[in-house]
Amino acid sequence: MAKELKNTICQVTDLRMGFSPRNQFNEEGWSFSINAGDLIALIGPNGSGKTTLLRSLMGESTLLSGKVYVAQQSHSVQEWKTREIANIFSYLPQEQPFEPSQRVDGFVGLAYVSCNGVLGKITEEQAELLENQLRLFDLEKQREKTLGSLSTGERQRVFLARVMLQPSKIVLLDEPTNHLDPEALARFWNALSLFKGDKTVVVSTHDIPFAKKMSDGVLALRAGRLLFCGPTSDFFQRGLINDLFPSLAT
Amino acid sequence: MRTRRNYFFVLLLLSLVLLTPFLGAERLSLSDLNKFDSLSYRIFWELRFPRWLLTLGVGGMLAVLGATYQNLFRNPLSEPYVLGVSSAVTLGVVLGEFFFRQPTDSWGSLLCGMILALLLILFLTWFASSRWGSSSEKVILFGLGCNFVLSSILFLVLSFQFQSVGGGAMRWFFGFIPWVETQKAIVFLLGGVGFTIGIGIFSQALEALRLGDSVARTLGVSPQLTRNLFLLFTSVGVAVTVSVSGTIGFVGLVIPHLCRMIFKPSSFRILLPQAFLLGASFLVLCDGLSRALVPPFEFPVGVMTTLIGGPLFLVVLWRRN
Amino acid sequence: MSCFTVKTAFFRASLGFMALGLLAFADSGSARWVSTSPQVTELLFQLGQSQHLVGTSDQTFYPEAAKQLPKVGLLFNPNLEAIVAQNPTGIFWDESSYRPDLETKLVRLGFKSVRLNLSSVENLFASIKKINEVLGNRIDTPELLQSEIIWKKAGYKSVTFSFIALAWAEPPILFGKDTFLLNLLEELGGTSILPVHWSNSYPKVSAEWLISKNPDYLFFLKHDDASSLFFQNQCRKWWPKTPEKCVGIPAEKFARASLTPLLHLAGLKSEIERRK
Repeated sequence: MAKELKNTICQVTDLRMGFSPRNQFNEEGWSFSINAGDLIALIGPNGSGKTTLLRSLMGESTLLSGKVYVAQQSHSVQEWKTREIANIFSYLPQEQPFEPSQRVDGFVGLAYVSCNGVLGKITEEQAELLENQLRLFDLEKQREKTLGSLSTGERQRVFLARVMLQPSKIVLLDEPTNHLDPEALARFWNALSLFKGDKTVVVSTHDIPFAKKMSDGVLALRAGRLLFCGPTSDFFQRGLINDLFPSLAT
Repeated sequence: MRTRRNYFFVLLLLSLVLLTPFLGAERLSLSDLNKFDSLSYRIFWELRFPRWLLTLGVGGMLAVLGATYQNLFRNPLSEPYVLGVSSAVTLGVVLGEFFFRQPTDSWGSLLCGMILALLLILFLTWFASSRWGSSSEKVILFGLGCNFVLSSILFLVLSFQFQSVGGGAMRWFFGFIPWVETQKAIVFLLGGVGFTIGIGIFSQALEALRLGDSVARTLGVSPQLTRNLFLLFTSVGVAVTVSVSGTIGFVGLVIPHLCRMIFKPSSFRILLPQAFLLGASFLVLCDGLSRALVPPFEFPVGVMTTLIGGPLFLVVLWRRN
Repeated sequence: MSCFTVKTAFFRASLGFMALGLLAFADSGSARWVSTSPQVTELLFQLGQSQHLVGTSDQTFYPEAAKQLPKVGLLFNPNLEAIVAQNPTGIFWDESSYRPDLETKLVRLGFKSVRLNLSSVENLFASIKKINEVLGNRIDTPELLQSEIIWKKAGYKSVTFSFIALAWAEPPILFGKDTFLLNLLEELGGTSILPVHWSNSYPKVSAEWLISKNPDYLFFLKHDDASSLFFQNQCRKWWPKTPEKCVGIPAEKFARASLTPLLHLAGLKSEIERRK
């Protein structure tokens, strides 16, 4: 039985991030790599830099120096054009701004702007995929409702539906499970696991049980340091979780 | 059932709008309307009709401009004059009259107004493209600051020169639909419709921008470029509209909200034509009332929009709750 | 001579000197007046009372000498401190510059306050009488005599016409009740098309009402060629067949309610007759 050779989709070298050159977040540069098709759990205490890392992986201004090579592109992600970013990434921030009067199906349909462009229309094929997505996230009955009329948990599902529908290679999710009830939480992780192999997903989360169960790899941050980057089994076997969250020790 | 109520409302509005040219200071004889050069003919076709067309255009534009700004700045309290473009036009006109003796309504005066407005717009666009203007909040705050500065200069000039600006200043502050030839009115109305269609075509860019700058980038929409282009075109639209009609308040701020409450559009692209039609109808009705309430006195249109619109808005808000 | 007689003589003499001194003091004390309106200033010059003027409002351009006077505030906004700084005997107001709050303060400070009404020709002559009383002098300048002659001349109401006087063209704002220009034109024989019961001094009306009323004349104040063109164009739009309806009245002659309009009345009358 041949072991599947995993490709590296993201190679990070000496990454330094922060909000301004004088305000660098991590003292030492971080270097790690992410395999294609993996589900990576990004964990760490609040303020450890999870959001900043996700944004830096996309090439935003928080990336101060270092190189992030994604999907065999020759230049580092901070030099990419918007079109190239749209082809590869989809992103869900921790606080997603939204227009309260927008309808659920309209919102989720925005995912296709990334490939159809601003002037494009949704094709029949894409419309069908949209239907499936709504069903997958249990939003069929709410498709005509406005975002403002939904509960926070329902809205979070809509946001997730959009970001997962986008035809991208890497999905970056910033604490997407914050508002979800246990049922929705389970469904979310199940939905994520469906994308394994197709998309690379980096999820920043506090949800340790599911992360342990579902993820392929772990990126652990603490106090401005990259504590660990590697397979999930490694991380939990070495008991590194206790370094991150000492009070979790049973 | 809701749709049926909407249809009824739209029909009522439409019929009122079509009746408005028959309102006014003078009673017209309907039989004379076709008699060329009779008094009724002249008043109806030369005075009221082009004014009706122009008012439709101005009302529609203001509502669309307001809706666009509200979307662009993610702020429901935005309205077309928030960035100070109207103050710039008014100040330009006042300075033109003060320094260059250009009476209001002459081409020179309009040119002064537009020049100052364009200077402000270029300044705003420069700021929005720079690294300081990297977010919607920063841009709107900068615009607010500019608005304060321009308004204070305007008031300063007026406190010294009030008597020489007199009736003209009234018009810029309270809004007034001028009397233009029918062709010009048609051009403006078509321009307004074209502008709305243009914004509608690119509305998905705005919707993407609405999701936040980072998410917009992942959708292929460059945030600063998109914001700048929309800012530029919308502000020019405001400058042109204010040059025509002065500052008419309320329409740009409240009509988009009324639209959302009554018609519940499913996206911004659908909101735009609704806002245009509702804004146009509303302003036409206000203008008709301002002519017909105490004839032959005429209220400035801006006074009427707030007088009627304010309570109307409160009623709709109350009934929704 | 007894000491008593000398003392009395001295006493009487010194009393006499004191009386003369008081008179001199009283005379120079009543000689300082402040005007808060350019038309009052011009009027005072024309009545030969300019030696009593120690201050005027901003925007005073007529006559030439009045430009040198110290300014006591903006046109419709007199400044209390500037007025007091001139140490006047009293202040002249007209109906456009009158400020009751300022008046109360000035009266409390011990200054006299005289309200003039220049809203019609009759009121103008009444105001001249009032100025006469206040300044305690006989006024008989050539301008005043000439004005009185022109005014008393019979036949002014011989030309009859209907009119409006336009203060602003778009939106149409008219000279209404209690404006000098309206009254002057009415005295010339004109009938304003404004309804009698309108008390607004500057009513804003609808263009279609103007068109249908179709007055014989539309008067406007001509400040310069540019603004004049503005009014002419509007008039041409309203009555394209009779553009000669539009009569521009030179502002430097007719904008202020002083003797100047009266002195040029003949010119205006002949212009109206010429167009009839």
